[in-house]
Amino acid sequence: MNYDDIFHALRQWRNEKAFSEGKQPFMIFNNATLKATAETQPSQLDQLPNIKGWGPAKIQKYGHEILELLEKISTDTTHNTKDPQQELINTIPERSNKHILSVDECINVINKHLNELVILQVQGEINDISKRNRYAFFNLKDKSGAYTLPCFIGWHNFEKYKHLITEGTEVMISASASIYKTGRFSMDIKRIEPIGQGALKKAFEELKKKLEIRGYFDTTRKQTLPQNPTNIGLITSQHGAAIKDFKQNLKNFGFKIFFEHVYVEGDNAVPSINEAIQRLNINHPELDIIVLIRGGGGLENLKAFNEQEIADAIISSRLPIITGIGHEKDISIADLCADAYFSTPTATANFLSQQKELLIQQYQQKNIELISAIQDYIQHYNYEIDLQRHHLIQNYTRLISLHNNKITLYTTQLTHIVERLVHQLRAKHYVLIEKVNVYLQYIRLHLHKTELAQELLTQLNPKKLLEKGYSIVYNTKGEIIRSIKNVKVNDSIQIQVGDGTITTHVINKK
Amino acid sequence: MPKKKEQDLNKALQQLEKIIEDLNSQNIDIESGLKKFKEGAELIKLCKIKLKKAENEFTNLKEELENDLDD
Repeated sequence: MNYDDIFHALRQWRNEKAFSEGKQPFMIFNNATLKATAETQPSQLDQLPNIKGWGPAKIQKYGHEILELLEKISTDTTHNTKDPQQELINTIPERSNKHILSVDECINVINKHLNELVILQVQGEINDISKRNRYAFFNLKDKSGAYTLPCFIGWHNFEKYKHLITEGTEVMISASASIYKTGRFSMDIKRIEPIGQGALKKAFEELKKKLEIRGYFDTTRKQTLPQNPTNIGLITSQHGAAIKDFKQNLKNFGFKIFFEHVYVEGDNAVPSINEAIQRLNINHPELDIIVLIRGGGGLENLKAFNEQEIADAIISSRLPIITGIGHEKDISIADLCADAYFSTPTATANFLSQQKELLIQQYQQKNIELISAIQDYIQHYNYEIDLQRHHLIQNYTRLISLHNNKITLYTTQLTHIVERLVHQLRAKHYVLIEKVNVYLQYIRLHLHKTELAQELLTQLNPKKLLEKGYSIVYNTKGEIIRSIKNVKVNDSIQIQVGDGTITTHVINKK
Repeated sequence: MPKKKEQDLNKALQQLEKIIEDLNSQNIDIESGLKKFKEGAELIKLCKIKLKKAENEFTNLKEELENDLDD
């Protein structure tokens, strides 16, 4: 087992690990550490701290894995002593016995084995570019320029990465190796990533230029933000400071947050963010807006937000998207594509809260206006009612007074009639009384006459003579005796005197 | 006042006047004088009752009428 094989195995393991963790390869282990490990070939954990680049964290995380890998390599090489050529030939059916391949078979066999390498990640500088309409060739060279790797990029990936394909740019390619039927070896590029500040900056500017021409940043394309966003789809990492800053600054205005955890850095960042955008768009019809945020970092850290795939996902989102990525100075491609962008996650939260505050203010203003309008309305109608009431009272009063006048008139007329009648009646009454008086006078006159007659009669009463001493003599028959002839002696006679009657006998007559 | 009563009264008064005239004449005897006197006294009594009654009636009537007037 030679040093080179171990180093290559370690390097391949390192690159695959970086790819799966979404990190840069040097962040796992740099080449110097890999070389030192390959030289030492440790078999125990306690050997690792002596190798440069193995800290306690790395030992804990990758120690066992590396020891297992090293053990596997050593056993593989010990037991696998087959001739590589023979092994290759064994895979070819039919002609395996001949040991002679046709050219195309040879290329196929080589390609088959090259394919087993899966995806290689290679860092280098782009040179000798030959761009066609829909594809490009270039050479990837190391810093010395001594080693050259021919590269080919096909239609689909060319469209995606053509802005990165410029002379002298430091990149990391992800590619599979293959031989074309002409015998030309090339790396078939799947992915190109800029490396280093300068390259990233340059890549950013190139992509910006490209997307600008395509209209990605056009304000006419951008969606109007909802006036009253309440249901918010939040896309960020659950570990970062961004989510904390965002939530702390989002005031309590009844926001409902649908959180999607994503990687915001590394190779997994772009697909996980894209999927989150799609999920929120598809699964949550109630959402008003999507918020995409990430805390500050260098261009390396923010790389995912400067990728065209992110731009595509943002501009094809049904829901409006607002972003707050990095520090205040950073403007990412994602920011430029978003329907609105803010300098930081905090600023994004503040914007949403301010929107609500503004809305509340507007509502309060409207409320005041409404109340004022209602008051005006009421006042107006009160005035109208007063006016109508006044009219009514006026008319009614006039009507009443009119009727009162009539009543007074009728009363006067009636009183006159009654008075006249009473007067007439009184007159008749007086006449009647007068007549009665006349009768009374008449009666009294006659009474007077009667009394006079009584007086006269009293004076003429024959009995008056008796009172003067005269007497009247009656026989038993009651006849007045006027002559002696009328009586005999012993006849019973009655003598009437003034105060009574005397009965006696005739004694004698002469 | 009803006519019949008036007539009766007038007749009674006329009779009374005749009786008084008769009594005043010298040649009336005491017997017929007494008779006439009794007759006259009766008439006077009758007339007085009738006249008093009439006076009362008329006085009452007058009072009533005068009261009515005051009301």
